[in-house]
Amino acid sequence: MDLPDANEFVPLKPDVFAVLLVLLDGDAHGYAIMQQAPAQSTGTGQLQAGALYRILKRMLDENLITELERQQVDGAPDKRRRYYRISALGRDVAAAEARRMAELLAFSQTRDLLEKV
Amino acid sequence: MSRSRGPLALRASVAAYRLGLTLYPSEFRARFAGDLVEAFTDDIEVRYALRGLRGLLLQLPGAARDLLTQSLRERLEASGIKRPTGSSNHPRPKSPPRSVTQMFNGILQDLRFAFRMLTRAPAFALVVVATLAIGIGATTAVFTTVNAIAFRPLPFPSPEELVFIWYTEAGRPHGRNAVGAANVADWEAMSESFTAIGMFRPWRATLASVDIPQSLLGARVSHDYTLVLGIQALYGRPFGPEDDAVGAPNRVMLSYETWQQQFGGTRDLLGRHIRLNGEEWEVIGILDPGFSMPRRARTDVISALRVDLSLTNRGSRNLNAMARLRPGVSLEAARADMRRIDESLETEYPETNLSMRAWVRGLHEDTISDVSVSLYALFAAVGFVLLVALANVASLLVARTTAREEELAIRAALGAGRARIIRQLLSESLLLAALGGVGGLFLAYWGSQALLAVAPSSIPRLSEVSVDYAALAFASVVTIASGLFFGSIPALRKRSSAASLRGGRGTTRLGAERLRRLLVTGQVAVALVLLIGAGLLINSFTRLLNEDPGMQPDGILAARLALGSEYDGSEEHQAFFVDLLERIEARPEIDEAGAVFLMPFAGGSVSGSFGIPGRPEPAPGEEPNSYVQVISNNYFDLLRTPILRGRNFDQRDDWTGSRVAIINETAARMHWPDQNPIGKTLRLHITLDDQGPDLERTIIGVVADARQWALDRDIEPFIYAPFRQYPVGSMYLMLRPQGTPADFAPTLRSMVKEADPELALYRMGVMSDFLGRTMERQRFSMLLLTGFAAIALILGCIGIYGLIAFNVARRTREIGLRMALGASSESVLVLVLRETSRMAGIGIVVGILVSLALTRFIASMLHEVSATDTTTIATMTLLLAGFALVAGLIPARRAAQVDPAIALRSD
Repeated sequence: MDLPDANEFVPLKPDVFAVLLVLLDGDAHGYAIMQQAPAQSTGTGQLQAGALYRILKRMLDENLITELERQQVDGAPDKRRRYYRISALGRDVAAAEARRMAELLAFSQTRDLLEKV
Repeated sequence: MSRSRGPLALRASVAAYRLGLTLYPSEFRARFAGDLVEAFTDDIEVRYALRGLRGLLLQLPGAARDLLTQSLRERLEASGIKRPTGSSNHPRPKSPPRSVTQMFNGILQDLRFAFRMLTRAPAFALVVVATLAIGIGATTAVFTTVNAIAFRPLPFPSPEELVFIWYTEAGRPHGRNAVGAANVADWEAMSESFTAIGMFRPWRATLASVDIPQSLLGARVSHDYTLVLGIQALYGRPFGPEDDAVGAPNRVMLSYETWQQQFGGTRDLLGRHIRLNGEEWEVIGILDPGFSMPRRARTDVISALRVDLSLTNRGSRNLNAMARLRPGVSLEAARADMRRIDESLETEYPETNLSMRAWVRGLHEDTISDVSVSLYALFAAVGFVLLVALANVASLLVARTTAREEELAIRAALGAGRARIIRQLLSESLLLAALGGVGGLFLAYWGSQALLAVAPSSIPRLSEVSVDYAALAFASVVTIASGLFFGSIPALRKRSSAASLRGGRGTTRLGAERLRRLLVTGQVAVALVLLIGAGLLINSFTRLLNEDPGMQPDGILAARLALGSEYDGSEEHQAFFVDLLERIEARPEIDEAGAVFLMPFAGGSVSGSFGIPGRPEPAPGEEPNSYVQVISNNYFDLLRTPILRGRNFDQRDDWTGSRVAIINETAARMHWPDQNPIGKTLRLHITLDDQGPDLERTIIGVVADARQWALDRDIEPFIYAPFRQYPVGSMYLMLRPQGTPADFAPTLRSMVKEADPELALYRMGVMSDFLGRTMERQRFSMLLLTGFAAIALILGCIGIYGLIAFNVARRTREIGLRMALGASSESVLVLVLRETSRMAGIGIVVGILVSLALTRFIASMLHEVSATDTTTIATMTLLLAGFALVAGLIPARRAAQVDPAIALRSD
């Protein structure tokens, strides 16, 4: 089965992008993602548990991330927690979003915006 | 799972969060609940470790908001009402923001479509709309009536402050007995609870200054009474203290309606004199339109009471009292106040006030107390009918939705969202509810008109009944609520489109069927409750009809005739009635004619104590008591009431003869036990025209007991006096004409007019109708409850029939298969009937249990029947079971006739 085109996902929702960014650094459980996601990503401050898990559910459904069997976790297996890993599609989507943002940023720099702030 | 044995605040927060997680759909919860709790626990532990309790508390509002919003969103998405969001932030072209116009068009489209769907199933639509209309219509009609009588405030200023004051006798704490003017004057002087205590006495006045003499209903009232009720004059002036003074001229206030109907509403009537009861009365004022005194059907005229306290005997009690509580004084406080006063009056006047106690009773309670039980019973009954109707409609809708499952699945497969389908189903049920509501409103209008037509005239405040905005609002609320209620049942059931498309008999259908079974069982139970209630009332009414009145009231024409004040003195009264009766009896078409002071079943009573010469003087308050009746000589012959001992009155018993009396069996048994009362003497302490004590009378006969007020009232002791020795100013004329009694009415009228053109006959009617009217309330309750029970029974049977027929149709193939494999038609019949019996059986058991709990509330409406009468319960249960069986048998027979070959080929 063909993977969906990563470009279909961009622009990404900011909180989804934030989760992808956290997971690019390695597998993580829910609370770790909450901790590491940049506060600005949601626009509403720190990500709350309910919101996070609904995002995770959505991302699982869209194959952006996968859920790890509990034994698969490296190091001391924490059996209470469920870990999440970014999928190949997830990486592509994150890259596509990053490219889009970089282009956008580059373009905004031609308008002297940041100096004015 | 729990690892943190941390501080209580932490554990409590986690427990609350865990509880809050139940807000999420179960599917989401199963997948993520554990992780959510872990994440939440980690989070608040860190905050607590860093910043203590404050850190923890600061974190909670955010968590709560997260819980509420995310669970709601997840639920909306899971139920298909909201489209699931993806990770992408693409604007979604499929759901552009909807403008108001689009939304309106959408609703219109829904309604049009709903209408089309209903016209495609006209029988279904008709049954549902009719069922709803009956339920809503009956509810609204009864609501209108109950609201007018029981709940709408009485039409007087601050009605909650108004009270009646009655006298009670020792041993009868809740008797409503008249009071006396002397005591009222003392109450008013000594009491601190009332702003005023008013007195009144019912008054019938014959108005003679118009073409046809009219009988007016009204009252003589004290000036304080007008203050208590706040009686104002629309034109002219109300009564002042000077009008109520002894020796003040005759003055009246007329009702607006009398003024309009009898005098054409001319203003110059004010100050003019009119003739009432043969006297001149000055009209000083016109009352407000629609004014009616409490507990009176209508008030045509009021005049001042003009009581002369110096002439009043403290023992005479012939007035009614109403008072207004001072603001802030409670009913209890007023009662305590009155008890104190009555005790001091008792000490002061032991011979008249022994154990006389006032009973202060709120006007509202006093007005509706006689009917409140039947009103509430009626309301409960009609509520049950509505329940059955709604259950029936719900069951029909569920069946229809089940039948349409494939259609809905196709629409879902073609892209209709779940929300769209739910909206469509809700539109359909709301449209049905609206049509039913409109039909119901019409029925409510006709129903309340019909209720008024058959309602007993004795029910207070009937004139205030009209379908009003409250009823309209009520009908709308019931309609919309019912629409949402039964629309939501099929709409909210989870549906698997795939299973439906396959035409599978999955769990969805089982669920729907279980729901329908429950609804039908409930209907059976409620119908049985109503049937048992109706059965008890029918049983009670039959027993009432079978009571022996002790007389034959059929074929008697009666009318009351009151002489005006120009007939002053006993001899003239006597002469007039003797002469009139003789002339009536002389007519060839009249078999018998007689007269009586208070005709049986026409209301009213006079009772008093009497002495028995030769017996030791009884203690005050323990004198023998009896009701007193004044009759013409042939009264007992006319009514076919036999004289048991001694003789009847005859020509000897006139003004010049020795005074005589006849007593009834009860009086003989009560006051002359084990003795022959013939030849004994008695002496009444009062006379009817307040002329002081009566003369000593010899008992010449004992007459058989007969009912005086109603068939369900106990027979009381009676002393009869011949009217030629005990003349009264008003009598009921009673005649037995040949042929139809009512045909003689015009002749009687003209004969009375011939005798005196200023006299009016009133309450003319056939005596058996008077008797019938005493049973109006029972008849009314019985008819209504029977009607409701019949509706419930029919609706319940429609419910059973509908469900069984639907199931048989659905299982045709299965039945065909069974028969192909050798099942006989009988066994198929039994198979289907078993389903009916199971539902009916459970419904019957529940219905009987509920009845046993509820019927005691109507016990006070029952005559000689126990509220748990087993015969009635058994009969009604059998009746219901019979109907249920027939309802189930029709589709069952169809099932038994299934041709296996055809059934197996069918789709």
